[in-house]
Amino acid sequence: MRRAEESSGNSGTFFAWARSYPLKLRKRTGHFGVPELQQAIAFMPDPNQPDKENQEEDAVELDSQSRDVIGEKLKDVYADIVNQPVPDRFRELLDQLEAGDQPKAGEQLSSGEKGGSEQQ
Amino acid sequence: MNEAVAPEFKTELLSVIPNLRAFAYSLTRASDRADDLVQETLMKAWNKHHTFQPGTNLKAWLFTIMRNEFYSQMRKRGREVQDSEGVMAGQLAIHPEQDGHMDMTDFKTALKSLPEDQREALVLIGAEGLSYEEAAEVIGVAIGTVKSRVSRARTRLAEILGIQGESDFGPDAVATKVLGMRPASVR
Repeated sequence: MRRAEESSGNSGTFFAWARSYPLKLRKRTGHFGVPELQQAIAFMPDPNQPDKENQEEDAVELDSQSRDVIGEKLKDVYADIVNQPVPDRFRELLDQLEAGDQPKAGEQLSSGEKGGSEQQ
Repeated sequence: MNEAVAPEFKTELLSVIPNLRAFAYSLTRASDRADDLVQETLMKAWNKHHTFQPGTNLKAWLFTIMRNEFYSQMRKRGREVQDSEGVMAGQLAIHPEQDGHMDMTDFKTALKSLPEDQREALVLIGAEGLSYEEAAEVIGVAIGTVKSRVSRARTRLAEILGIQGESDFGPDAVATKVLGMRPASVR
């Protein structure tokens, strides 16, 4: 039954099938009992597993020095924002929330993102 | 209606506002919507404070809320969030100054030009200091995907900005970097 596939000569199909063949079953039935073959199967790429995108990109990894330069610049850019004092609006908002006063969405917002249904 | 919010929760929220603003700047591409996004995030967070698990990373939890909020707004507006990769970056040609010093504005411009997903990953890892695992959770992708995006983001930035690691600042160095054909790493 399975023999047909096994000898089909299409290695892709064969390996796919072999991979899907549970190890326990393989051992019990004696199929693929040959250590070499089992090893070969173990080293075969699993079509369901690899993230091709990742593998490709890893090859383009920058050298560490360039990475450091970019990392430092990035931190510099963000330090500008992170080191700014917290705007009063946020302190006030949290005070309001703490007082149980639930501001409506968009109430203090400068842009027109108000959900009409939320108007009081 | 809400169960009481612990005072520490408020204090901690306050303390991470600078980080929230930074991430909001990144998501909105430094638009003036950034602080509105922070506000909406704080309100959401306050209302669902009980879903935060003490001992886990509050910053990451808030980033997740912010990100969801941002993208749901974008969807509501029916706006195209994602630049098709490379379109903007391709138009950019920033020439590094002669001494290799790079202007901060150039860097910001280059950063803005990155595809959304790459910039986000880079900022969470490189600027906000999340672990790959935390960033993966915030974004909702596999850790390997985050790594890949960060890697591509760096490569693209280096490409746009003409950053060279080694001391030889020749054009060949740039070309090899861009093409990823460093002799040491590839054959």
